[in-house]
Amino acid sequence: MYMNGKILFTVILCFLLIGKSYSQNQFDSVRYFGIEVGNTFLPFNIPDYSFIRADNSSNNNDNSAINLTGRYNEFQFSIKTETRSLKNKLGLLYGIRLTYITSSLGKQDIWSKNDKYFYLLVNQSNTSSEILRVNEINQNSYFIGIPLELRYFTSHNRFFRFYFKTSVDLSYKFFTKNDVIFYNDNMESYTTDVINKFAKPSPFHCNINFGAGIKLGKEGKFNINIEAFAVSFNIVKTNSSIVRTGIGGGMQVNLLIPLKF
Amino acid sequence: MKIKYLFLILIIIISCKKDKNLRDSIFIEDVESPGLPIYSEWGYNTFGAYYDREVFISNDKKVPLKIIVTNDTMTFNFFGQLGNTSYNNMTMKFYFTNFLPVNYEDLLQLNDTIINLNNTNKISINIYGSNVNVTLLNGYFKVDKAQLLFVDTKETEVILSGHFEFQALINNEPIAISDGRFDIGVNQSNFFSY
Repeated sequence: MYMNGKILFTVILCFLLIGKSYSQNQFDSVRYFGIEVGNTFLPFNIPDYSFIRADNSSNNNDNSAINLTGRYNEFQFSIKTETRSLKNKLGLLYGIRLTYITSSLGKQDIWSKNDKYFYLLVNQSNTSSEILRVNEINQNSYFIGIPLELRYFTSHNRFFRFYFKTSVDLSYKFFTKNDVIFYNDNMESYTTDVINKFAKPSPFHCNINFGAGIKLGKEGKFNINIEAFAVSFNIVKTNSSIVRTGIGGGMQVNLLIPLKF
Repeated sequence: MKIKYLFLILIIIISCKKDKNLRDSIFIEDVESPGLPIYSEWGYNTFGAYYDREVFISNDKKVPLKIIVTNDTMTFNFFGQLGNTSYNNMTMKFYFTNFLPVNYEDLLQLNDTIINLNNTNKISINIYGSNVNVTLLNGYFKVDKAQLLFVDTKETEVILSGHFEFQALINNEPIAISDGRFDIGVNQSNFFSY
């Protein structure tokens, strides 16, 4: 967490310094405005939950004995504006972003109806234990925040331009919905008890990306940008309270139109 | 009317059956005691102990524990294998006389109970189909936790979890049974009183 904080601080400092370096002389008269959609693919692992019963013999007392599957996906929608500098080779983008994170834990098989379950310990006293048969636990969260992006074009003005890009996204969670699918429908009254076994997801989302893209379109005209992130990771690992994310990649597509002033 | 009663009996039988997944043995090896299952309190239906340097452990072929109450004796019958080959059958029976449960729920009274083993107690061992002569020297049998398990609010079984160790003369040779542990679910399928 300390190292991730250092990286975040360094990236934000770079953005601020570059932003400050923009002077009126360097400021192009064309500003771009547009919308963007994106998807981040992050690998994840399932933490070791002591309240979930193993169902698999194993040579190690680790998660391989529990045999759960998980899912994690991030989707983004943004409205952004871009200003260019350094003879139109450096672009600074910022705006407002809505991020949707969905994750799940269970015995889900995407190819068939899920009729498998795992046992989750919901209550325990000195001489009794109560477990529930659970098919799946789902968590969906919505974040709103500010993306800050910097891109550097490798060539001067032309229809097709390649660029490198780095970005940071700072968001705040404004809504979370948790859902538990029980093997026995009559156990729905225990939904809150099951959800409370897991820690709450972090209210903050901070994602850092390093990648590249191509811009299609004449300067001063409508642009389409297609980007891929080779490195993408969340500073805060607990955006989902049921799985933990690692380092992955992502894709974004944005459409920018020029606003001359 | 007869069909109604038959249907009702069928439902009762089915509802008393142990969840198939709970019947299975979940053997998770203890990295600190290689060859033995971890100590757990989940009802994983496993047991294990070192028989000198060999392992006496449960397997998937036999019911790991049957508790039999007859006359004035309660017997814990552990069925398993000696070593890593499932064909080397071994049975170890602990005989207790000072506690006679009527049904499996009565086993909850064994929670946090330690029974010291000495030459007044009886243990019998059967290895590869042959009974061996056992003279108990010292040891203990402890039920660390006895708990009633509910699955989806339905009472299912009593989970007995604990440890045991003892020294004995087995066919006149001193043998140590050490680091023994068990975690077994008990209900109508493996509790007998007659």
